Amino acid sequence: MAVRPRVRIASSLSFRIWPDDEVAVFSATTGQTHLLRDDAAALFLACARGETVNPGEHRPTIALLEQARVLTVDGCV
Amino acid sequence: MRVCELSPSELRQRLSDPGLRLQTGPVITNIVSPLVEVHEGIRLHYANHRVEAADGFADFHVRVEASTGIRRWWKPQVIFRIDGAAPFNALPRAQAFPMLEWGLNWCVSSHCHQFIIVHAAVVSRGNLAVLMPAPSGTGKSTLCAGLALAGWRLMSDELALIDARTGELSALARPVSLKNASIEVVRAWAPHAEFGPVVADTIKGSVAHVKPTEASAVAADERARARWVVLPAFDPSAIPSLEPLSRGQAFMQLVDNAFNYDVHGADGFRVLADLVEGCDCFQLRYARMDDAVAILNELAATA
Repeated sequence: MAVRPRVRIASSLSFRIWPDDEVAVFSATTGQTHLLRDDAAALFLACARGETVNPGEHRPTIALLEQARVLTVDGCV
Repeated sequence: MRVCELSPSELRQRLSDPGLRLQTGPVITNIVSPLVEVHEGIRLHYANHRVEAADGFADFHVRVEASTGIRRWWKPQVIFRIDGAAPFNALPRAQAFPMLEWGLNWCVSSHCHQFIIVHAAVVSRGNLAVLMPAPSGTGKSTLCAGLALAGWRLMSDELALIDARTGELSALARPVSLKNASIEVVRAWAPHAEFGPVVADTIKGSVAHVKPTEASAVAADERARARWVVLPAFDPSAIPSLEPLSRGQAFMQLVDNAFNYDVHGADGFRVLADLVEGCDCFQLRYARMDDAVAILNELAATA
């Protein structure tokens, strides 16, 4: 049976959510800080709320955030 | 004791040996220099700064002195040393005082990791500060000088020192470094300002320093809380305006202009994020000093 991919916030992450749906994130893994807005912020906030995210619908954004070690994906996307 | 309480000969003697222990906010620097340009610069610009005892602690031991070698006979040069090492190339002798200032900036920005250090001008009213992060050449020092000469307290024209645990701001209150057209802008704005000589042909063009006001120098030990983050943008054609800036954008300006953010890791992120959360954030566009000062005076009046 195929494992359903699961998108999660990276464990090394610190983040701060601001009212206008901007999210600042700091990855202790990379030492980098990013400001997430628009799709990236919405996706991140959905993960932060524990909502199920379908990786297939957000493939480019997830790829970028995964590369930045902001999100991790368990299983294959 | 303050520098102005030393006679010219006492100042000269201290600067020759064992050095003048000059306090600029949280930093004490032992300065040695036989050069009259440095003596005169310190006598003018640091008149109201405190001098520590010769046997007290100093964070940095620096020297500005003539470089040796054959060039000293036809194009004299000066060199900046810290702990005996020379981190920069020699410069023409006329640049001795600017070189001391640049060297002191480097000492702080490269070593004082008890602070998150941001490339920003900082002025305050009471204990509430305006933080103006910006890269070089955006006019932050010009605006900072204008505000300081209009009654704001100068904390720094160049380096915001943010306590890495509490987020409070410490002051350096050192001379404001102006470049090129900014020199005449500030002279015209504040004819009472005390300037050092204009030094031409530096790597930054013509440079002149403005003496910190006495009130700013005397208050250099007092910390302040960031209340506003303002991104200044000088534009000769601008209609003066103060537009809200999102906290995320303001935060990233602090991060992008920080010298040592990487040293502090997640704690640095938290402290800067907390700082921004306690601030109102704006983009300031202006073409004239009067407008910029009036806008920020009005902003401060609302606090």
